[in-house]
Amino acid sequence: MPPSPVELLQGTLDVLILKTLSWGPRHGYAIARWIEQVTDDVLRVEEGSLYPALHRMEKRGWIAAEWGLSENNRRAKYYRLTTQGRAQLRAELSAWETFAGAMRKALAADATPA
Amino acid sequence: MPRPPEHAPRDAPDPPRVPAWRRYLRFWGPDVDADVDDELRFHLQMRIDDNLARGLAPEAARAEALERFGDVERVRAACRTIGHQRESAMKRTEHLATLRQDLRYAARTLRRAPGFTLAAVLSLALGIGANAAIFTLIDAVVLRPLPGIAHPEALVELSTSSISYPAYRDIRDESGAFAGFAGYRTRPMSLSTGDGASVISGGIVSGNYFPLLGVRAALGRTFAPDEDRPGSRIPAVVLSHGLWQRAFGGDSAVVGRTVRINAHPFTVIGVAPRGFRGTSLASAPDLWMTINAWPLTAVGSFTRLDIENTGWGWMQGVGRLAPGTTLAQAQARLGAYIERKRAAGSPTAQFLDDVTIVPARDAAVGLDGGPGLDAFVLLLGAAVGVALLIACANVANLLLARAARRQREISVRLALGAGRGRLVRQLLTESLLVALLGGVAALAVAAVGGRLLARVSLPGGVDFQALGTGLSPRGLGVVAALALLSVVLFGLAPALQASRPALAAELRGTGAAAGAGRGRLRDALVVAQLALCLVLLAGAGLFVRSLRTALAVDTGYDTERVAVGMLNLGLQRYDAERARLFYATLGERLARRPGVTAVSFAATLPLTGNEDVYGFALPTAAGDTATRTSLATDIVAPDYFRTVGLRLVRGREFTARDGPGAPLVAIVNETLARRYWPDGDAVGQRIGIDAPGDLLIVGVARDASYSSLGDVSAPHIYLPLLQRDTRIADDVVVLLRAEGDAAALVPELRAAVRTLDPDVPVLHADTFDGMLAEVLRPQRLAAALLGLFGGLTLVLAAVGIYGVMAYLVGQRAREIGVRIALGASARRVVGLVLGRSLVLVGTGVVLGLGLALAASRVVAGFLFGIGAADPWAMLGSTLLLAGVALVASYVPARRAAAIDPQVALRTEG
Repeated sequence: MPPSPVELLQGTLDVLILKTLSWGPRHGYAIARWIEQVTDDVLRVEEGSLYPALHRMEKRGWIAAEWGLSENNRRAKYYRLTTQGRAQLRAELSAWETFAGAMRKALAADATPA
Repeated sequence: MPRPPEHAPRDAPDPPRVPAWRRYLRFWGPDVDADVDDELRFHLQMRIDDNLARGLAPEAARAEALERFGDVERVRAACRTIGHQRESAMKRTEHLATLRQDLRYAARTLRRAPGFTLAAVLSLALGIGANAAIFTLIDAVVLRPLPGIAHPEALVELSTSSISYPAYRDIRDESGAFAGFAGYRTRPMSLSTGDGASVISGGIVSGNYFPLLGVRAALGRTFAPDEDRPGSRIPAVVLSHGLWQRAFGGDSAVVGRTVRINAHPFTVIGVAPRGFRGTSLASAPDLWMTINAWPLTAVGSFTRLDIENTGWGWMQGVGRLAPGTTLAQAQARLGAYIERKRAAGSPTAQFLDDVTIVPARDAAVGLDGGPGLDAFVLLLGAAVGVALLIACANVANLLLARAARRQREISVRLALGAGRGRLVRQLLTESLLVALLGGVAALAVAAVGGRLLARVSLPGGVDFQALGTGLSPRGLGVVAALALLSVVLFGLAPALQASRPALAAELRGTGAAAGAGRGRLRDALVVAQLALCLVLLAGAGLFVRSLRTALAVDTGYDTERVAVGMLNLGLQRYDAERARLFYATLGERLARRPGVTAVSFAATLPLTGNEDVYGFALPTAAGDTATRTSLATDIVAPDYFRTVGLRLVRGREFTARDGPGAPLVAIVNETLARRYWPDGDAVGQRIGIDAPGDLLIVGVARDASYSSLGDVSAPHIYLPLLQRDTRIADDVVVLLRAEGDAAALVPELRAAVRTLDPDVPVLHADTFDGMLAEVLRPQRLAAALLGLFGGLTLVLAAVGIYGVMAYLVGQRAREIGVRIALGASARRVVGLVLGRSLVLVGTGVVLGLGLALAASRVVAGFLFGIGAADPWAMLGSTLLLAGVALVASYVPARRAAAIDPQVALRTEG
């Protein structure tokens, strides 16, 4: 059963956020900028949708937040990965690998099964 | 690039600025809404800055930022919702963590003091459990005495013993006193369902009985109002829910089945709802039939029953007040109506002399004479309530003593900055845990107590089992409520006190002064315990004294030497002829048994609350014999007086020659003889029963107690059973006089009946003494329960005063040490401590005696032969309490006298 587009988007966004934070604490804007750069705007998401995702993940305990000062001395909310979030990232990555591998294999097949 | 000041990006576009004061909200905790606003504003600001840096015009920079962001409002709302959820989840976790911490700490402290925990839990378990067990009774008897009946408050009963059927019909149709008026009575009947016969209680009711009570059938239907017309329909019965379950296994196909009642077929038309017991606690019918169907089952004295007879009162009347009518108004209307009937010379006015209306509730719990069953049950309830109070006082005292020992720990925690509220909460959690354990243990106590109570039948022959035993949901609720209430009662004051120590003094280790206030509270608790305990002991004392008086009373009968068996041949469809033959044969056979010196029969057994009443024409001062007087009458067989050991002062016994066809004879008692023939001999005089002067008095018997213990000086008449044989196929008592042990004759009696006719059930057989013990059951029950609780609370009170005295000695060890060092003798020291104890005991006794005297007036109605303020009961209980309390104080007093002054002076107070 294919996942619905919203779920796909949401799940994808979560993995991307976790991945971003795996290099260290970041505020929301920095996360948005990173996603924008590495995906070359292919996965164009509304920046606003980032925040409910962040807050939901904070509620689940995957990430933790703290107020700090930004590079240009503004008060900004910094997120960092928790142990639980790190485990979640590992699980999501391996699930993604499995899924992508299976898809690749299926799409590369050139004969109908006997 | 220049930026127009009006578009200063520092003023974030959206969301709007938060008022500055909101920031201060974070002082008390995170402000979710402001945080979300700040975070989003930061994002947009950064994007605008970047756009400006890329060379966009300020307006375009802002527009692009908003465009990229999407719906700001929606995002903000979503974030706030998630934030609030997170916030409350965190608070919950925090509360739970605190609670878990408190509970763990409490459990640890309780485990470390197993003696305290056991004492506290046991006290509560007994207190709460006993209350829960008695609550079932209170619920059934006091709170809901008329279960299953709609609007029982508007239901009333006629207080007269019974009315005739025509009188009932007239009142129903003509009096206008009630919105509806039904009649009923109960009779033992024999029910055959195909597999054996059993004796059951049959209700005979008017057709409007069920509609009047507002009782609908659980299955099938009940009677229709016109169903009691003679010959109206097939003979039908409605089963009680209990009988339906018992005899038919709750089979819903029972409607339409045929059952035999006194060997006559009846059709089951319905089942009454569960819990419905009729309108009297004492006689819950197993099934109901209509008045017109009753003659079909007629047996015994009812073989020729004629319900149209105005001279035969047999029904109870129950009425429903019309809306807006008071009891007094109905009473007035009924009184006026009866007056009119009497003035018109109507025969139905007979039996209606002093008819009063009482609430059906009172009639349902009423016993014959004396206070009602509800008073008795409330008395038990009060006793267990007092026991719970004492248990709570005890636990409070234990907690206070513990708090005193833990004062150092608490002071240190306070000094280290623990909040007082937190500390109170901690201490209350400990109490709550004790109450919880006590409540759980109380369930076991209640279950055991309920099972014990189920074996007890209550005064008035009310079977506790019929009222429903076991813990109902309501009972469980009561347990929970009592457990919580007890926490408040015993836990709050100690917790508040413990958390308010004189800090400095405690830390210095000289806490004696700080303990004074706590000491007063403990003193007050012990005094209250002693006082309440005395109330229970005095109550037990009163009932014990009453029992002893009752047992010592000379009833006039030789109850020790007589064995008794109760039969009802009518239930096996004997007619009078066969019954007479049966008893003649039975008497002959029993008389031949070894150890039997005399055999007789009677319609009722004296002292057990039953009596027959007949109207007699007796001479008045004017010599006219027209007026009839109702007199209690014993209908007895030949040899009755010899068998029960009642002496005849003049004349002779009834003999076999005083049978049907022979001249009618009677025996009177001394009081009657003296009253009507003060100057002459009653023997040879004539009185009237069916016709003027048709009875010849042949003997005068010594006065005795008749229907109950103690009513000695009432006029009384004996009639020969052989000449009143309408009663012979009904309830009959077989009496055997034993040469030696009467109990040995009880199985002989049963065996003889079985040999004669295996189908005749012996309803009850025992010694006369054994039957009397049944009669004194309420006294015994009250004495036993009050004694039990009195004893328990005495132990609790002893523990309480021991604790207080031991505490006192501990607190004043230094002072006592100084006294001993200065030469005080051991006697003086013991006297010092005991003197303090005497003050407490004295106060408790004075308060307790006051309470006991006030409370004893409530039980006065249950007492036999002694006053409510019986000095022996009061004195005895006081001495017992004071003795035990002083012994409990003596132990710490001895310890005080043994204090080594050197040790006491060296250690800190």
